[in-house]
Order: sequence, then C-alpha cells, then structure tokens
Amino acid sequence: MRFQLNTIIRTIFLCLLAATCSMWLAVPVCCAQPKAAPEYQLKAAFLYNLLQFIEWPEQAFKDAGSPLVICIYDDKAAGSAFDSYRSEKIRNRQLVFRNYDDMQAGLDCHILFINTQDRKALADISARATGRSILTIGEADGCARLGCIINFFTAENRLRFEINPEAAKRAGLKLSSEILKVARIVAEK
Amino acid sequence: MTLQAPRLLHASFLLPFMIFALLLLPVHNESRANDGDQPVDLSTELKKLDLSQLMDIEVISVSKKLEKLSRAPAAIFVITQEDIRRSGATSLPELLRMVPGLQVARKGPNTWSISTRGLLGAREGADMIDLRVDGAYLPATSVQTVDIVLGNIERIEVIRGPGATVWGTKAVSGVINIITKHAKDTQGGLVTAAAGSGEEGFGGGRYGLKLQEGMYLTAGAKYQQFGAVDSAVHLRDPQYKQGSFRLDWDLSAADRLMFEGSYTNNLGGSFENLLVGSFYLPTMERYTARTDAEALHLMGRWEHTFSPTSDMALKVYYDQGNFTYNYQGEPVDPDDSHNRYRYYDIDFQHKFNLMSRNDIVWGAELRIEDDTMGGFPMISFAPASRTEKYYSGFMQDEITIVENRLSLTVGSKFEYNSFCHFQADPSARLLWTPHHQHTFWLAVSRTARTDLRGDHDLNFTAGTLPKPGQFHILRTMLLQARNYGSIDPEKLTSYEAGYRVQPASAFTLDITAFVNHYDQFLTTGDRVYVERHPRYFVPHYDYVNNMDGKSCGIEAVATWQAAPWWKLQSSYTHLHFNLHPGPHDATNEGLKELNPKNQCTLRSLIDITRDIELDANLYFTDRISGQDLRSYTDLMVRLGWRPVKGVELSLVGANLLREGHTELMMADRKNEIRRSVIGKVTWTF
Repeated sequence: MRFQLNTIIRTIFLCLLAATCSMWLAVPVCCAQPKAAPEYQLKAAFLYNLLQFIEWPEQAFKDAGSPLVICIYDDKAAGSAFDSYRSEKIRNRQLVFRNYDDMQAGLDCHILFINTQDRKALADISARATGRSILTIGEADGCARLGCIINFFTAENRLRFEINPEAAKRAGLKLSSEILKVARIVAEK
Repeated sequence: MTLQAPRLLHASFLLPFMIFALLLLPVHNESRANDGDQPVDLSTELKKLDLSQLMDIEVISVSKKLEKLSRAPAAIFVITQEDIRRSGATSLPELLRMVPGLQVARKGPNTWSISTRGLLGAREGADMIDLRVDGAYLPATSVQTVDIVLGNIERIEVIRGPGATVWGTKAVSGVINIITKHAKDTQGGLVTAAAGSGEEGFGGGRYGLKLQEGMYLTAGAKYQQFGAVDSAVHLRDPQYKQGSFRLDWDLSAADRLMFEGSYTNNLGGSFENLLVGSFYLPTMERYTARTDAEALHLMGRWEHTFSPTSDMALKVYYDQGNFTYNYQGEPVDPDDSHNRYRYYDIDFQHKFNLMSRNDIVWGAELRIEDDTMGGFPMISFAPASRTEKYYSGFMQDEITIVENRLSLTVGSKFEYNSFCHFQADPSARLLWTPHHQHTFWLAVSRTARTDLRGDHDLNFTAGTLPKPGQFHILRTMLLQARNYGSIDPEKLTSYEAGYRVQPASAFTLDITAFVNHYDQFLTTGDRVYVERHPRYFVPHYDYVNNMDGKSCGIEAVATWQAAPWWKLQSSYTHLHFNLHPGPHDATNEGLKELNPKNQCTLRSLIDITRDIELDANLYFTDRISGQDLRSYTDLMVRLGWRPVKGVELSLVGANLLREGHTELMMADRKNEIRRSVIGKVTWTF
C-alpha cells in the first residue's frame, strides 16, 4: 500500500496526540482537590457535611449512645457511595445506614434520603415522615415545595441544595445559619 | 456489506482508533486493580472538603430525569450541558454529530442535512425528523434556523425511530427535543464571542434577572457569520441573527407558567432540498439560489400539578416565517418568490397513575397550518395557499407487570386531516430489567407521514431553466409530475431491539438494532399524457404510493469515565438501506446510495488541570457512493482554559486531518468544508 503525504502527516499528528495522552496517563493529575465527582459520592459528601449543622431534638434518640440512622430509599442507585461513611460519627453518635424497607418495618430513621424522581413514592414517603423528627432529603424537582426539608438540585453542573425551613421547624430540627446561608430557601406556598 | 471490510481496514481510518484503543489498555487494568465501581480514595478526598468546596465540584453522571430517560424502551441519546460546552460546536447540527444513528452532513456554509436511519439528503427535516423546542414543534426550515444560543440549552434528547406515541405528530424517523433552561438557571450575564480562520465568527449574549419572587426573565441575542466552506455558488455573507427571551413564572408549587419567543434571520443558506423533501434531484444545478429566511416563534405554556402522580401541561404557540430564493441577488421568480407560513398550535397533555400499575399519558393537539408557497425553483403548489387543520390525539399506558423488572408500554396516536382522513399509529414497547445493570427492550411501531401538503398539492418539474443573462430559445422540460388522483400517507413499520448495560458505574454500553419497512412511499408512476408544444414536449407523470423499501442497522454507543478527569465516548453506526422507486422516478432513484454505510465517532474529554480541558472528537463517515464522495475521517480538538472564575477561553480546531472535504452535495455542488481554527471567549457574570 502506498501512503500518501497527508496520511503520513495525519499519522504523525495522531502519534503525537497519543504520546501526549500517554504522558497524562503516566502522571496522575496534579490537583489535591478533585474537580468532579460521581453524583452520589458528591451527595454523600454533602449529606455528611450538612449533618454537622443540624440538631435533632433530644427525644429523637433513645439515649446519648444511640446512633444516628440514615435510611436510603433506593440504596441500589446510591451504590457504594456511602460506604466510606459507615464508621463515621456525628456529635458522638455513630452513623448507621439502613434502607427504606427497614423504616417501613418500623425501625427508626433520623435522616431519610429519598433518592427518587417518582412523585408517587415521594408523596407516600414524605407523608410517612411528617410529624416525626426525620430529616427528609430529596433530589426531585419541587420536592422541597412538597415538604422535603432539604432538596438537591444541580446548577451549572454543580450540586446545590434548597431548604424548606417550615418543614424543618415542623420536624423540630434546628438548622444552623451556616447552611441556610448557602442554600436556596423555599417557601411552601 | 462484506465489501466494506477491506475499507475499514484502511490504515487512515483504523490508525486513530488503534492508538486510542492502545491508550485504553493500561487504564483499564488499573481500574480493575482498584476493584469496585468507584475509586475509594475519591470518597475520602470528598470527605475532607467543606460545603463551599463541595459546591465547586462538578457532578459527573446524569441526573435522575436523564436516568429515567436512559431506561426508556426506545433508542434515546441525551446531549447534556457538559457535552454541549465541550463539543466545540458553534451550531446545533454540528452538535448532533455525536449522536449515534444520526447522519449529519454539512452541505454549505450554514446548510446541513440531518437524518436518522437513512434518507439523508432527501426526506430529512421537513417530514421525517420532528424537531421540538420545549415541546413545541418547529417547522422544517428550523433545522437551519433554530440555532439557539447553545449555552441556553438544558439538554437535547434525540430519539431515533418512530417517536413513541407521545413524541410529536411528525415523528416518523426520529425526534430531536431541545429543552432550554429555566430562566432562573440563566440568571446574570453571559457574553460570548468567537472568531475563526475563515470568515466565520459569532457573538452573543444573554442576561437574566429576577423580576419578583418566582418570576424570572432571560433575554439574549446571537449573531453568526459562516465560513470554512468553499462555495462555488454566490452565497455572499451567509449570516445568522437571532434574538430570544424566556420568562418563567412559578405561581405556586402546583402551577408554572412559561413564555418564550424568538426571532431569527438566516441569510444565505440554501435549503431547498429540505423544503421539497422527497424531491431530491441530482441535476438541480440552476437552482442553487441564495435563501433568505426569517422566522418568529412565540409560545406560552402552563403546567399544573394536581397531585404527586398527576399533572398536565397546556401549550399554545405560534410560528410565522417567510423565505425567498435569490439568484445572484435577484429573486428566482420575481412575481412570486415569496413563501410564507403561519402555524397555530394548541396542545394539551395529561399524565396520571391508575390503580398504581398504570402510568397513563394522553393528549390532544390542534394545529392549523396556513401557508403560501410561491417561488420554489422547480416546484409549484396548487393551490398555492392553503389552510389546513391537523387534529391529533394520543393515549399511552405504561403497565408495570413486575415491579422494577418488566413493563409494557402500549399506545397509539390518532390523526385526522383532509389529506389522510383518519390514521392510527400504534406502538408497543417491552422493557425488561433483569438486574439494575442490565436493560433489554423491544419495540414494534407503525407510523405514517400524514402531513401531505408538500405532496398532495405539488407540481414538480424536473427540467432546466435559462440562466439569467443567458439567451435561451428552448426552455426544455424533462418531465412534470403531480398527484392526479389521491395519495395516501407514507408508512413505516419499525422493529427495534435494544440492550443497555452498566457493568461498572463508570462504564455504559447501549446497543440498538432495527429493521424498518417502508410502505406506500411516494414515487413517480405512469405517464398520464404528453403535452405537445411546437418546439418541445412535456411528459406528465402521476405521483403514486408505489415505492417500498427496507433498511436495517445497528447503533452502539459506549461511555467510559476512565478516571475522574477523563471521559471517553465512542459510537458506531451501521446502516443498510434499500428503496425500490418506480421506473420513471427521477427523484428517489439513487436515494439508497446517499447514506454512509458506516459511521464511527470517538470523543475524549480530558481535564488536564482543574482549569484546563483538552477535548478531541474523531469522526469517520463512510463514502457516499450515490454522489461519488469519499469517506472521511475528521478530527476536532478543543482546548479550554478558565484563567479566572467566570471566564472561559477556548480554541477549537475543526477538520484538522484534511485540507478540505465534501460531506454531501448541495444541489449539484461539491462544497468543500475546510480546515478551520476558532478562538472563543465566554464571560459569565
């Protein structure tokens, strides 16, 4: 086969490109702080961070040693994102992860992460959570207006959250001004 | 098909892919060694950050809404904001190149042909692809004019195949659904400017503000000039202007209002092929006229939520536009060169859940099309003006057979208009998710093209006209064809099967195979009579539903987040197309030869540092034998840099591998798409 000039030029160019790419492969990317992260890993980090700023009423716990229970609606979707938080503590309370079935079975939940877009499920679950000191966290459009206390959304490809303070008040939760400052505040009506 | 094998092995095509393939090997092993879907240390990294730092991190992967789409029993591809920003594309058709199963060919400076699963350069646009912006159907010419400021797009959903019942009345071969951003997401200002090595360049901006609680307004404008194409035709200064606004008013949790509008002015395109749809003639030399088009679009939408499982949307919209063909500055036919249209549309949809297992969507639409079609080269309409009412309705039920495992979607669209009378387009789709990482779907759908104004009233002349300034005694007509009796809708029966797999959270593969049967397509039938003139004669032919055909193909796309800083996406499209036109058909003969049999793309998105991105897009398109066009492999490279917050500089090199190439002929011109470099600045504040 006789190569033409432009084939050769193209080949050289691509080899250069490949070589450049390989160099990046060999040298791990510089920055200490990651630039991007998969959705649920990021949400898990957000959630863990937010918990530092939220206070539950005393009666929400059996005693000073009882754990802080996080229930996840769709734990398959969340995958292993929460794995590295299993051994963490918040205000001396051990974090415990359960799924939604456990909550339905009557077990306690302090945080309910409703990771679904299914509005039917959403309504069901938030109805179940009302009147209890449960921090409901959603990720569906309009969830906060429907009564979720915290709701994740994305803007410009970054994760943001909105807060429904009335719902928090009803649940007896105290939200620090630190997080109210960075959140979008949502009124119910 | 087998003849293609040696071509694929041609070094110029294979080499780039081989190099990329080689690149993939070491990383793949590495990720294996990591054992697990996600690198564990990323979580540890994230744990150390505070809220404000976390808020600066980009979200990888799609939102839930998109995830739901990706589980739909249809061949869907979603272009995200990130895809748009990093594509280096300056216009909508360029952006669509990344979609598997879509054929995109740039024919002229600002003229493209877009088709799905065949019929490139012929029935695209006008009849086959349903282009929608925020749910509003846009007229065919819009493929050229709907060049929304790309930064205002939330996402683009491309559905190949007969759009499931819910998608549009005109969705015969596919739907392109552009969803623009809510005005609250485009607050503040954005200014963008670009200039390139040719004459091309553009500038645009938008500004969004909050009028009151829950009420947001965004307005923007764009100006673009095109270059990078060697055009033999006098298309002087092809340019594009657009102004647009969007107002969102969230009245309450249950009610949302939206108004949007745009005015576009596209000078110097040439898209008669798009407009005449089925009547592509390779010898249209004399008719390559400069097209000037302007369009106005206004829409209002009201969305209401009755309950968490039930909501509705009401849309009302209006489009008007006109376009003229000019030959060297003069209208083609000065007496009647004006083509204009006014479209009114009212559309209602209601979604609800019935007995928990049935998710039902139904809707109704009335569309009034009022147009005057005058000066098309080679084509006239009788009557030239017509007002036609299109009634349509649809009903679809998604039945959950086994929760989260098996569901069946059945539905039908019903249409009525004076061309087709009553028409039903049923479809059935089965979705099986045996495991959350594996999804299989099967679909059978039948659809018809019922918008027959362009066929029913058409008088088609294949012939020659004297060039201006040239003395002609003979005005020879080759043939005339029109509809003498009645014509029926063209029909398509499509069988599709798809498989999606996500073996690791960072890797997805989506494969679709289809077989399409085309029935009753329009072709030129028998000679009706011969018109005799002293110096020439004109044979007149009837236009009949006598063409059938078959196409089949495979579309695959793989996406791999190789590392937090490196995303790869590759797609492959194979298309085999066969159509059997009637013996006297001058327009459809050769259509089957207009489709590239193989297409490949490879995209690599690399974050070199937090602020520097290097993205490469490699495209291979097989030869188009019908126009004697060679296959081409092209590379587009984008280097993006954010020196300070809010400012993004990028440098895009397009068509880097060749000095120039032709993608598809415009009329009978082989316009060269040249190598180009564009620099772009975007400032958000």
